[in-house]
Amino acid sequence: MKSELELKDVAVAYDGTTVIEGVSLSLKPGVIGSLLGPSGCGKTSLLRAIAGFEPLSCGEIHLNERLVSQPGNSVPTEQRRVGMVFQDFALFPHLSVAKNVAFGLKNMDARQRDARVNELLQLVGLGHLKDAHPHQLSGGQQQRIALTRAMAPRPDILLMDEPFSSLDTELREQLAREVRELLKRDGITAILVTHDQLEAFAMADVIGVVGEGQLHQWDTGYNIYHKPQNRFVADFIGQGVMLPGKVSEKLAIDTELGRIKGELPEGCKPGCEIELLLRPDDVLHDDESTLRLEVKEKAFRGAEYLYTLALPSGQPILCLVQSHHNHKVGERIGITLDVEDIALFPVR
Amino acid sequence: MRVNYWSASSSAIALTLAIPLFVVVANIFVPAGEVWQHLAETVLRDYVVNSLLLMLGVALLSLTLGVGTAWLVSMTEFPGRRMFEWALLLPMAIPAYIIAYTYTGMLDFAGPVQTTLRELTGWGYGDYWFPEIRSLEGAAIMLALVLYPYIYLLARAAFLSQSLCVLEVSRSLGNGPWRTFFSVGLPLARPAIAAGLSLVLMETLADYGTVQYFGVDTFTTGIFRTWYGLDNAPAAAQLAAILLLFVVVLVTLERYSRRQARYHDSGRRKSPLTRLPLRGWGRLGASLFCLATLLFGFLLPAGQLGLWAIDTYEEMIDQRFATLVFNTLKLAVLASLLALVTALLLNYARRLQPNRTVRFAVRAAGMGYAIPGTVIAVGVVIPFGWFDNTLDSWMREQFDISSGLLLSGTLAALLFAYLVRFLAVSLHAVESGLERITPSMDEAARAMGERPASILGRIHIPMLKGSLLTALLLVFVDVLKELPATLILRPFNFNTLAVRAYELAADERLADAASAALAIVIAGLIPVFLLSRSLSQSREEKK
Repeated sequence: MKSELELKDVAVAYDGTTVIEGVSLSLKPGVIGSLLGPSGCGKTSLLRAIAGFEPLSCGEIHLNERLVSQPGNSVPTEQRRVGMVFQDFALFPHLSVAKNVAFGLKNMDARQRDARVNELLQLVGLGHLKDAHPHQLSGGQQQRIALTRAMAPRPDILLMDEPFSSLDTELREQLAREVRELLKRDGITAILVTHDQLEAFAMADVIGVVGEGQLHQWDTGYNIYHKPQNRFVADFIGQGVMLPGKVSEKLAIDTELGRIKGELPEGCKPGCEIELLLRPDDVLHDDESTLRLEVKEKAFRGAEYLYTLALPSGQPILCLVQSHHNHKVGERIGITLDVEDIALFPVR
Repeated sequence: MRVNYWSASSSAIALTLAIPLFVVVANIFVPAGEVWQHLAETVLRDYVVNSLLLMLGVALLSLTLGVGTAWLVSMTEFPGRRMFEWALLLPMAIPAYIIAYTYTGMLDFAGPVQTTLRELTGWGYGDYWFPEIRSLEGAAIMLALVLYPYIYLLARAAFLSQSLCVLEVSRSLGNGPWRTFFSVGLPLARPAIAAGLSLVLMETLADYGTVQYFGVDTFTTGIFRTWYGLDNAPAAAQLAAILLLFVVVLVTLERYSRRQARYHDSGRRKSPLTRLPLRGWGRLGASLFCLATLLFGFLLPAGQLGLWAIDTYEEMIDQRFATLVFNTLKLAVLASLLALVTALLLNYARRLQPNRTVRFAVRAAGMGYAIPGTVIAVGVVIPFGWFDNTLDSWMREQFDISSGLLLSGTLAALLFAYLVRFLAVSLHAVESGLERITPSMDEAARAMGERPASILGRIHIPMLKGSLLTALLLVFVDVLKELPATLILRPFNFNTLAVRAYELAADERLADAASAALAIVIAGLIPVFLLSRSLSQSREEKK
């Protein structure tokens, strides 16, 4: 199957300072990708390079099997057939909602254009607002109009730069779900830039973790959480602790919590000192267990408690427990380990 | 290396506009001979002392009026508050020299006030003491009456933007409303008030018409006298340079205050302020204070001008008056278009190429608003005259042709001076329009397949229309009101409404001057209207 978007060894630089480099990835039609990373990591620069707003200092970008960017040569944005949703929505304040949505529909006659605008506005449930002006809309409505406007000309790929960050938290999750449904329904290929991992998990089929000017991992949400390829990804995504251990003769890992068995990543030699990523959901609470650890701290999360437990050496580990298991700080509780995917890192 | 056209053209504009400033400053080093010695020994001290006293008087009075009214209309509730909120801007429409001669006409021996007084008391000439309006104190009152709106505007905005929380914290800590005002509200608004005050003082320093008419010797009148009376350009330029020194202090104060004002911005207000409802004497006092300010600053002088104009318009509105209006309009339209084109060029340079050179050039090009018209005029005449003379003698030598006066004494010189002085107004109006078009709007349009040229047509022009019109109108009105630079630079026998009104008033033909003066005041209402509309818009947005 062809790919809608392909980046080969891409680098972007401003005034000679490289902000991101060595990025290679590809996106199949109809797939929603996400670039996830802390602020200032270069993810927005990458998105803007795909849109054609930033030139490349290295590498190539292909859109719909067409070479659109390489150093010193860039197809202008207006000829790329990309749709873009901006953080501030960038709705045109002097145009009505309908005219905003119709802005990019140039090669249609008036009737077709009206039909397309109405269809889209109905789809996002804002048909009744077609004559309103942007300043009369709520934040969520503006967001939906910005999305509708970008989708209207049926772009090859939809680029979204932190599209939910200016909205309230509750609205964000709801909209992220709605938007995903909309994109999936029309089979639209899209890339979402965000710093919020829950948003990326909720929206995207494939997630790229970006940090310190590079793309660390381009993978599914499950894999970047449970099989992070490096420490940056392990630290940035979710919570967890690094448990020191040693690869044993039988290719299992000996730790303070006992021997952990499972499929080890390649290149693990017996006797090697390593650290194992232990997520809170890898540690199960079990009153029957003989392995009992002292509760150091507890944080109520509604459905769960997040307990911080201490190993005899003082090494803390995290444990996520249903919240009706309410234990006091200082109490010893029984745990068992359930590590399905083993993520190992060399000792720092 | 590629030539950066934006950097080059904006630097060229800024440098050209800075010529008058350079010339004035450079003249410090030109020996002015005995004239300077004479000036320094006789009048220089008076110029300094009078200018300082005038500034002090204007500062005290305009602060009282500006801060007082601003606080009343923004923090309290009393009868007429909503009307006063915009009406208090009306005095801005009257140039100081016009209010000065209007009050002179009202208060002199034959004027309506003294006549009524004599009729009521039966006193005759010399029987009573009456304050002399044509004095330094009088000039300070005149200037303060029409300049206080600068302070009012900025102080009002500062009071309104104060976070309710900060004020509520003070209330919750046990301070009453008055104490809260003096310990929290006023200190928070201080930078804005200082910025307003520095604008008022810049206008005070720039004033020529009022002080000349009242016979108060300040720098501006001194420059005129040295220029025309002593015919000594270097000495006039040196006086102008000293005046500039005062201006530099004020500009620094203004810049500093505006920076402070940003730090003092205590955040967005979520809910509207509950105004303090005034009762009893306070209620009456608030209404009377605002009414008196409005009455003396606008209603009385405008009414008097109206009465005079009714008396004299039949003789005054004739062919000559039509020429006057035509000249003035021609000049104002040309100047405002010139300023608009320049402002557009500089603003787009900054938007498309926001490097350090361009940003500095744009800021430098807007500096003229602080420089008194007299100083700019001196700085224009000297180099333009030099250019004409040099070219002329060279042409005579080479071709035996006289090129005559090409720049000086033509409309070109006058338009250039206006551009230097008023470009900032245009720059600011265009800038605030352009700011509303965020970079992501351009990018959104491009992502939807628009080329840069059509983005200009579909997004920029429709969104900028209002701001461009504002820019044109504001410069138009400023040119209409401008007096000193026009007096010095106008072509021979070329009169404008402002010059004519001033000349008639100087000949004690006060009533005859009213038609021209009233025309200026009516035009001056345009920016007041624009301002009051943006005030009510910002109120709508806060809701």
